[in-house]
Amino acid sequence: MIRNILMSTFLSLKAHKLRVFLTMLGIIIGIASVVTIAALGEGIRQQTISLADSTNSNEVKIQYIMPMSEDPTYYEESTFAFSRVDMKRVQKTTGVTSILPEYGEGMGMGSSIETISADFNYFGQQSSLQLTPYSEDHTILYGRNLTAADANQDVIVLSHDVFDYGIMIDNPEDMIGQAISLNGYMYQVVGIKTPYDYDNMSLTGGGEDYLTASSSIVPRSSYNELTKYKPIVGLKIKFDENTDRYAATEGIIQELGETYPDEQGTFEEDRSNEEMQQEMETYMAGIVNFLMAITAISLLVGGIGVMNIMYVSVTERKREIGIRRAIGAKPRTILFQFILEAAFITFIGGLLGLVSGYGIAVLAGSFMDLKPVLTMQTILLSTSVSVLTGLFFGIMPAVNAAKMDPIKAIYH
Amino acid sequence: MEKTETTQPLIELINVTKTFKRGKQEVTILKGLDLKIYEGEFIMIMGKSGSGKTTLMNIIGFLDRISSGIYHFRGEDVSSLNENKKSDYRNAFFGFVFQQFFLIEALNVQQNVELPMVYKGVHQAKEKKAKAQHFLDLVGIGEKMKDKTTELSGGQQQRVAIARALVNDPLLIMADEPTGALDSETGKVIMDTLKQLNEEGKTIVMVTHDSDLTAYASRVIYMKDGCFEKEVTNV
Repeated sequence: MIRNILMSTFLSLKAHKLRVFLTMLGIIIGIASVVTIAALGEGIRQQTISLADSTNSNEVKIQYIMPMSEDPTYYEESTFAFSRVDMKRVQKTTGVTSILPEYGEGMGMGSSIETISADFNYFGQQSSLQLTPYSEDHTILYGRNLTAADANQDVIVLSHDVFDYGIMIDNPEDMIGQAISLNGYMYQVVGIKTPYDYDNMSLTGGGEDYLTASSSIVPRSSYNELTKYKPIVGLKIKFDENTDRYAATEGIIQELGETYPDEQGTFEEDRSNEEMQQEMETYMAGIVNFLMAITAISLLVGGIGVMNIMYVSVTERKREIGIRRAIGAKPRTILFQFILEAAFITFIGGLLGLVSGYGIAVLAGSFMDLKPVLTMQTILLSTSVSVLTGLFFGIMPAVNAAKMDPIKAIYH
Repeated sequence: MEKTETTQPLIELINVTKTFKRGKQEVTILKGLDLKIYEGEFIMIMGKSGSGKTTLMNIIGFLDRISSGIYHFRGEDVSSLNENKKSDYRNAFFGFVFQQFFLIEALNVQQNVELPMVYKGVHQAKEKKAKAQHFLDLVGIGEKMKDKTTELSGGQQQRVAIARALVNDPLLIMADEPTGALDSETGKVIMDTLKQLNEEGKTIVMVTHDSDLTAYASRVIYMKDGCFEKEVTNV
C-alpha cells in the first residue's frame, strides 16, 4: 500500500514539475543555508581542535611574568631567564615526561664593540652582565687574565662592576676559583678586572671605552657560543596521562618561586592559547546559533510555502480526490497521499539543499582557506528537519483533502 | 434481462429521503422513495435535471448518504455506514462511469485502470497489469495501455473509465450520463458495451435524460421532483 501511495505521489508530483520545484525552492534555500553554516562552522571548529591537539592538553607552558610597574612610561625588559638547572629540576618532578625550553630573543647589543649580555648566577644571586671576547688589553686586579691556553675552557674574568652593581660579596678576591653560572652554564672565575677609572675616561669614544672596561671576559669560543644563546623565557612541560596537570603545574610553579625568592615577578602558566581557543569556540558557537536561528526562519517560510501550495493543490485537485474516493480510496488514504506528497517535496528539497549547501560551503571555504566539514549529524538533521517540515505543514491541507465529501469534490 | 423476483434484491431502498441545506432553506431532493434492484437488471433512471436522479444514483453507489429511510444492500442495513466502510463497498461492489469520464490526468491509461486495485490492496504489479490489459482489451483499447489519458478521444476515455469500473469485478456498474459528452455514434458503442456487460451478468444502473436510450434497459424508472413518476419494464 505504501509503495502504491509513494508511486502515485511521485506521479502526481511529476505532473506538476515546475510548481513542485518552486515549492521546493524555499526548502532548498533554507536547508542549503543551514548546511552551509553548519559545514563552515564545523570546519572552523575542527581546525581549532587540531590546533589545540598540537598543543596537547596535557602540556603546559610556564613563564615568568614581570611585576606590573607603577609608572606606565617605565618599561623594563624582563631579564629573567630559566636556566638549564631549572629544566633538569623540573624534569625530575613526578609525572613530567618531557620538558622543552621556549626561547626569547637573543640579547646581543648592536655596537662596534663586541659585547653581549648574559644571565649571571652565583649561588642564587642573580644579575646580568656584559661579556666581551678575550683580548689582552685588560688590567687585572686579582687572579689572572685569560691566555691562549684557555681557548676552549669555560673560564671567565669578571668585571669589577659585577660587585659594584650585581652580587653582594664581602671580598671579591674570594671569587677566584669559584664556579658561576652564565645562562645556565657553569664557568670558573680565574680573575677579576681592575675597576673602571672614571676620572681618566677618554673624551673620544668614552662610551665604547667604558663598555669594554666594564665587560667581563670569556674565551672567544665561549663568547661565540653565548652569542647564539637565547634566553629561555618559558618551559614547555608535558605530563603523562595519569598526572593531574593542574596540581603538578602548581607544584612546579611553587618550586620555581622558592628557587628564585628575590624575583619580583611571578611564575605563571601560559593560558593564552587555551583561553583564545575557548573564546573562539564560544564566539563561533554564538555566531552559528544565531545564523541557525535565522535560517530556521527561512525554513519556516519555506514550510509555509509548502503549506500554501498544498492547499492550492488540494483545491485544484478536488475532482481527482473525489474520483479517488469514488473508486475506493479511504479518507486516510487521501490523508497519507497528501502528507506524503508534502513530505516528499520537502525531502527532495532537503537533499538538494544539502548538496547545494555543501557546495556553497566548499566554494566559500576555498576563499577562506577553510575545509568545510559535513558531519553525519548535519546530514541526518537537515533531512529529518526537511521531512518534518513537510509532514507538519502538509497535515492541515491533507486533513482538508481527506475530509472532502466525494460527491462535492467530484461535482464542485 | 428478466428480474428474478424470488431472490433477495441486491438493493432495497425503503422510504428514502434526501434533504440538502441551501443557505437557510432546506431542500428535499428525494421524497420517500422505495426501490428494489435485482441482480442482472439494467436499470435506467430518466428525468430532467433537478429531478433527483443523480442523487439517487449516488446514494445507491455509497457516494452520498440518505437523510432518512433504510438502505439494504444484499440484505444488510447500510443506512449509516462510516466513510471507511463506504469506501470499501464502493471499491468492491461498484464501478462508476461518469459523463465527463473523470480519469486522473497525472496517471496514464494503465495506472488509471489499476487504481481501484491499488485501493483494494492488490500488490502484485504483474497481476494488476494483466487485469488492466484484460479489461482494456475487453473494451477494445488494449493497445492504449501506456498512453496519456489526455491524448485519447472522448470515446476512448470513456472506455478507459469502463475498464476502470470493471477491474475489481463489481456487482454493479453505476453510469451517470455515460454518453452525454459523446457524439451519437461513439455513444452507441459505449451503450453496446454496457449492454454486453449486462448480458454477461453485471447489474447496471444508469442515469440519463436521453429517451432514445431506454431500449437498452430492462427497466426504466421515470423521476420527477424527487419522486418516482412511472416505471416501465422492457421485455
